[in-house]
Amino acid sequence: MGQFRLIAGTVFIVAGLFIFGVAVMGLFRLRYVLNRVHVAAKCDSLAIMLVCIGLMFYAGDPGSILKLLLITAFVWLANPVASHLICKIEVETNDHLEDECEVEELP
Amino acid sequence: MSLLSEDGKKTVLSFGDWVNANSPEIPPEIDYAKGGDPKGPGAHGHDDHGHEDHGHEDHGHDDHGHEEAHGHDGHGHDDAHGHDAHGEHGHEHAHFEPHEIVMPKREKKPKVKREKVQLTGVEHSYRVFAVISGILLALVLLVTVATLPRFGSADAPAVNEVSRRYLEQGLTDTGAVNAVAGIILDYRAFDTLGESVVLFTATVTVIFLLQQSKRKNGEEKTEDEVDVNTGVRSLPAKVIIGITFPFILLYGIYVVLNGHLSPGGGFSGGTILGGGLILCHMVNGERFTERFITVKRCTQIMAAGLFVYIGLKTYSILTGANGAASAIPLGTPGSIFSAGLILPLNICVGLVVACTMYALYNLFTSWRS
Amino acid sequence: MTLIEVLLLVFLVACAVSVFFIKRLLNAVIVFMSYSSIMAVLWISLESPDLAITEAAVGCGVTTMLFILTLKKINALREEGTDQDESTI
Repeated sequence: MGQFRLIAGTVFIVAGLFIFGVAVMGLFRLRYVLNRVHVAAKCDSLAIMLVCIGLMFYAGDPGSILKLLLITAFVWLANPVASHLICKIEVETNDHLEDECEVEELP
Repeated sequence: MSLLSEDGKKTVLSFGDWVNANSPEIPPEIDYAKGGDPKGPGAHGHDDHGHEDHGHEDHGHDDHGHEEAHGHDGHGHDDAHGHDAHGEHGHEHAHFEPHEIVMPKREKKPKVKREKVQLTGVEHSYRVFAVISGILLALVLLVTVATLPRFGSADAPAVNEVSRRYLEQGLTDTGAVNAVAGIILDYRAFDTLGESVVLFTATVTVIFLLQQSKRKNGEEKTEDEVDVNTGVRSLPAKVIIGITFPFILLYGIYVVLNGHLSPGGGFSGGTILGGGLILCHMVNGERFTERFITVKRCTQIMAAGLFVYIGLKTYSILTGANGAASAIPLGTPGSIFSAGLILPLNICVGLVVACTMYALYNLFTSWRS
Repeated sequence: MTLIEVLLLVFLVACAVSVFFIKRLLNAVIVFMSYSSIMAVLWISLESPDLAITEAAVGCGVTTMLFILTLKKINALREEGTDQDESTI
């Protein structure tokens, strides 16, 4: 493994882990569901992408790179939708939503 | 149970009184029921549908309800404890309500479950005994684990001529590159048949327990039911499922078909297939999935898979196991059509597992009290 | 045994023990799911990937879904403390 690939991969993976750490901290610090879902969804998507890019540098062969790309694509498709559904349930079932955040009247 | 467990005996004794004394507070409960049944008075009719015994209790007079409550007074103290542990007992007490008060069954669940209960001496000793025996069991297990041979060591008792034979002769005997598939679907195929039959039996049992007859026409559909029929009311979820669902199925089929070449096989691939079907049902609803798979078809597929399995394995045992030549060629190891019967057996097992998963989920969602 | 395996085993035991002590059923189910996902990683480290796939699909996916469905059907998802529950009693 070349020196460059090792360093680049490590940098990407460490950045991804840092963002995972931010996500965990946000999950524990924030109190309200929507804020926490926001943190989890965005940080997870970005961190998964960074970790996968780092692993692509480590792996090197086209098959593994393709698999990692597929993993990233799947997470990017699935994660926002799952978060969207959680938020939707919270908004639909919370009777006192205006206590928590500004509510825009939907048509 | 919160109604009962304020302090043991007294509250159980006064259960009938509770119903009368709190009758002004009933309307809010009916409001709460709107989550399940949008029509307030209609809720009662909905209840009657499911519970014949409820109708029987309705005929009783008000004091009849009192009698029942006092009958329970006999085991008053114990009863309160039992209720703290078991949620479903609350439904029995729901029958004691007088006729005028219309209370949907679902709201009878305890709201403040974990009040401190006074334990008698015997119960204290039970708890102490439970803790001690648990710790002893954990110690025994830990000591056992500590004396096990190391993972993968050569002098473990598992390393004997049987496993050596499997590893050395497996490829030539079964033709499967994946040794695990060779073992579970060739050497020990009878064992796998048993596992599949267990899954089939579980599904049939759940069908017997949970399948309900069709609703009569003209009944109000609850909100829950609408959800089951049409799925999530969210466009992004439906679009994304439309994109990913074929790929999930494709991956499951790949894992099933490639079982004799790579890790995976019937159980893993079948679970992935079942998970994909469950996801589709969850998002798109019953109306969408019943076009290509229903519980009835699931049972048919499972039965067919089991019969094909039994037939193939009977043939294999009759011809191959005695050392006689089997008509099924093993093929070249590594190609997709190799390993004799393992590929069709994998398909059978995968179908059985996938249908089990989907049928269980479908029955669980469509069931309503 | 590497450091990561030791960490995973410690988390496994912690999850397994805490399932007993968690009072809310939904939280217990979620902890049980995390137990399954840790177990799936451990299966891979024990060199049995097919078990890992099955564990991930059955333990994390289907079992959790059936548990949560059951909790929903017996009305155990809504815990005390929410507004509606306070209004009933």
